[in-house]
This record gives sequence, C-alpha cells and structure tokens, in this order.
Amino acid sequence: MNQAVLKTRNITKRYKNVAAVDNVSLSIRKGDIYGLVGRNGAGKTTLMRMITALTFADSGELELFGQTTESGLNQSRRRMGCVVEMPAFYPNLTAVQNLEYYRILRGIPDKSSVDNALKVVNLTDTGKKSFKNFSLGMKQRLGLALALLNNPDFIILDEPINGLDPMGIVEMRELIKKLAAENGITFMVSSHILTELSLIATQYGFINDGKLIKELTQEQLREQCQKCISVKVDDTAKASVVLETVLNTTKFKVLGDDEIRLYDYFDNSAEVTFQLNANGVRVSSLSEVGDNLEDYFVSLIGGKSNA
Amino acid sequence: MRNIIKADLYRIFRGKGVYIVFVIFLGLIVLQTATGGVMNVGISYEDRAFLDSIEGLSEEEADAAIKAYTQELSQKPTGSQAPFKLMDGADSLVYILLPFLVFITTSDFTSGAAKNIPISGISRGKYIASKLTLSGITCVVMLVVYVVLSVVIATLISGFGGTFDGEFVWSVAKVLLVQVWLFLAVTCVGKFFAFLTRSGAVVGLYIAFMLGVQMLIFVLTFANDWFENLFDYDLSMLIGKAAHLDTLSNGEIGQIIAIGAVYIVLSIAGSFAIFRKAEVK
Repeated sequence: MNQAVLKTRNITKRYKNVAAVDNVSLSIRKGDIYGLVGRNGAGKTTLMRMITALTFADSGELELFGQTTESGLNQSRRRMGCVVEMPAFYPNLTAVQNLEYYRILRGIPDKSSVDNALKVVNLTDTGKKSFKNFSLGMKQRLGLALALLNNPDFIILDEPINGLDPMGIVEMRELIKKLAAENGITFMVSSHILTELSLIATQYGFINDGKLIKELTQEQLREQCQKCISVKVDDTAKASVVLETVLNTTKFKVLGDDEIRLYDYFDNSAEVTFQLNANGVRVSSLSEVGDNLEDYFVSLIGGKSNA
Repeated sequence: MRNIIKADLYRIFRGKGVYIVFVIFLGLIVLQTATGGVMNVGISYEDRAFLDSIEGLSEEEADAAIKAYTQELSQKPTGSQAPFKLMDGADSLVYILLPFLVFITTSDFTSGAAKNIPISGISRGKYIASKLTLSGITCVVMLVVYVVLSVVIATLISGFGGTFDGEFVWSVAKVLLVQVWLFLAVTCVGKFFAFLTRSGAVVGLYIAFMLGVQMLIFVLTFANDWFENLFDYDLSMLIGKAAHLDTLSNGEIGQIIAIGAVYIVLSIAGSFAIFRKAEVK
C-alpha cells in the first residue's frame, strides 16, 4: 500500500506575478482517498489542472505511477479518470452518445463499459435527453461516469459535491467509499468543506494561497479535532497511575514530560484536579482544548478573515 | 490518432450540422452544374481573366464581350466540360467546407469538452494532427464527390459530349490534386485560427477576412495594377486558377503548389506552437 500513485515535487504555477500554486510537494499512496482542502481560490483546481495536463507547471516535477516524462505522464493519465471544474460534454449529444464518443476516443474495446459506467452513477434512464438539458447533479454524475469509463486506478474529483442536493451528496460520498474499498481506486478529492471530506478521506492536504500548509492522516486530524482536557502536571507517570486506578479511565494520552490529554471527565474536571492533588500530583493548569473541524480549518489558514 | 478521428466521425454523424452541410453541398453542385458554373461566391479566376481581357475596349465592344461571356457562362455544360467548369468555381466550396471543418475543432472548445482530451492522456500533438487529418480527408472526399457528381448530373442533363478515357480522367485528376492541396491550405489556416481563438466566431471572421481581402485587392487594382499581383497569394483565387492548369506554365503551377505549401507549413507550425502549451479551459 506504500506505492505512490502521484508525487509532486516543488511544483509551482504562476499567473503573472501571483503564484497560484507555490512549491507544492505532496504524495498520494495507492488506496488513499486524499482530501485536498482549501478555500475558494486557494490553488486546489490549479494543482489538479497541472496533474491532468490542462495547464503546465512553471517549475517542479510531477510523477504519475512512477512516470515523469511527457509521454510517460500521458501514458499514466490513461489509467486515470478526472472531473476538474465543471464536467463538460457535447451539449447536443445524450449521455450514452457522449460516453460512447469517449469510449471510441480512448480506444476502450468493451462496448458495455458505457452502460456499466452509467449504471454505477445511476444515470441509465436519461434516454434521448441531451446533455444541455441535464441538471447540475446529472452533469456531475455524468462527469463521474466518464471518469469511471476506463476502469481507472486513480480518480481526481474537483469539488464533486458542487450542485448536488443532500441526497446526491450522500450518494456521491457512498460511491467514492465503495469504489475505493471494492475496486481499490485511489482518489484525490478537493473541497472547501472539510466536514464533508472528513467523512471519506484517509489523508488530507491543506492548501492556502497556493502553498500546501499541512498534511495529516485521518487519525491525526481526528486527534487534532478531538475535544480533550489538557492537564499540565509535574509527574506524568504518577498522574497516569492516578487516572487509571483512582479515576478508572484509560482514555488519556501522555504528551511529553508534563502534559496529559484526557478524553474523559468533561463534565467533572474538578474531580480530576482534586484526585491528582490528593494523590501527590501537582496540577499547574487544566483546560479544555480541541477544535471542531471547521474551527481547525479556519485556524490553519490563519483566522476567520481568511475563510 | 485513429481513435480521435473515429470518435469525431461518430460525433459528427450524430449532429444535424453534417446533414445540413450535405444538403447545401449537393444543392450547390446541382445549381452550379445546371447553371454552367455561374453560381459563385466572390471573384472567380475566370471573371478576373475576362475583366482583364476587356480592358481598353470601347464601351460598345465591352458590352458585346460581356454579353458573349455571360451567354457562354450560362450554357449548360456537358459531362466532359462540367468538372472543369465547376472546378473553376470550386472556391465557393470554401465557404461551405470551411465553417464545417473549423466547427469540428471549435465545438470542442466552446462546449468545454476539449479539456477531456489531455485528461484522457492524449497529447496535444496527436490532437492537432488528428483534427488536421480529418479535415484533409473531408476535403479530398468532398472535392471528389463534387467532381464526380458534376459529371453525372451534367451527363444526365446534356450528355457526356466527349470520350471518357484515361486522358480525360488524368486531366481532371491533375486539377483535382492541385485544388485539394489548396483546400488543405485553406483548412490549415482555418484550423490555425481555430486553435488561436478557440471560439466559434472564428469561422465568420475567417470567411469575412477571405472575402474582404479579395474585395480589397480588387478595389486596389483600380488604383494601381501592381496590386493585381496580390491575387497570386489569395488562396480562393488560386483554387480557380488551378482549374486552368492546361493554360499555365510549369513555373506557374509550381508557384501555386509552393504558395499552398507555405500556407500549410506556417499554419500547422503556428497551430502546434500556440496549442502545445496552451491552457485548456
């Protein structure tokens, strides 16, 4: 599971003098659902556009499935499916005709791949309705069907829940999870809604002003965002014994020499202080810490004014 | 590249546009054959040669010459005359063929579907080459159909009027080859503008440009005869000129081919240079 599907090394894209993507280095391993989080205009789409060859980096290196040359990258892109920005198709063709066009174009011999892709996204009943008459949700689903057409190993989705109704959002989320679990597809999904991404992603990259400011695993994010009581003590070993034997909890973690993070006793922190003191542990401070996902996102990008 | 062409053909034949073009194209062939090639857009090479020939004549002589010329033009051609008559006015095809061929490319950009090409792992070079190849094939097919149908229709109306032999076929094929070359040049220039602007409006602009330049040169010739030399670089005029290969020297034929080649090379190089690293939106 450690094989890298995508690697970027110091990739940079400038528009005039503004860096839309600034020295971004990231790595997506096989099987990951990589959530790229950033506010609108942070550089998510530009990064995806470089990966998909819609634009080219000014500097830095891109590696896809181990390939770095232009022809190698093009070969690797045949193993990918992508929906970057709004899905775009020929307006006068139907869903089937549009996908059939791309089936021929990509040289996919299996004619049933069109029907299969439409089935997966639940878009089999559009008949003669042309793409121009599709709702936004239908367009998103057709975009995903195109991304699935070639049985890809890696799918890039740019804001895939844009324009979807609540039911559509749930369906999209479940579909991504299912494809990742059952077909082993690696995903890179961008969104400016961290709470939505947190329901599917296994890895996170936070991007702001073109810079990748933080990368976290799902566990690390959960820890960062989990509420806890931070207790500063003079002896963490003794405090641990008190917590386990007197307060009967194992929901704590020792951080360094003087801090314990307790994920229990939120409603009775006074009892924690009392028992620690009573058992010879000196408590220098006790406070409730931890953000919810949105607060964490806002704090990462530098305050509410930036969000 | 073959897959892109096959996919484009699949798409083209699922739209109404191609059938509208076919109807207009067939209508033009029938009208041109029935009217002896009088139907024309812009200034034809033959018209220009005639206008040159009446220069310096008195008003009465010019009137008589014009009358004789229009009578000659309106004579229904026989099957053996039809391809040459029609090929003289083949530049009119440019105005039907070009919008269609340019639209094949610009519709990718106006719909936004062009972005699905690089995403699919298809290189920009292959994409440009496939669009040019498809346009080239379309040019050849349409011109061959144009000539063959003109012979058939004219023969049905006025009889063949000659011998259908190898000499006839070769004389038609020679003109056709040079005209196909020039049509390719027109198409390549159209494609260059399509890749440059990536907008549907380029079709109208290009046609207006072609007609406008021709008219401008024509007007300028009244001021100074030297401007007439510019017609030698006007592709639609050269298409008409190529219909009279038998009257041209080898040097003139070589010049026509060379001018076509320059247009082709420059516009293909320009298309690659512009689109190779362009942003696809």
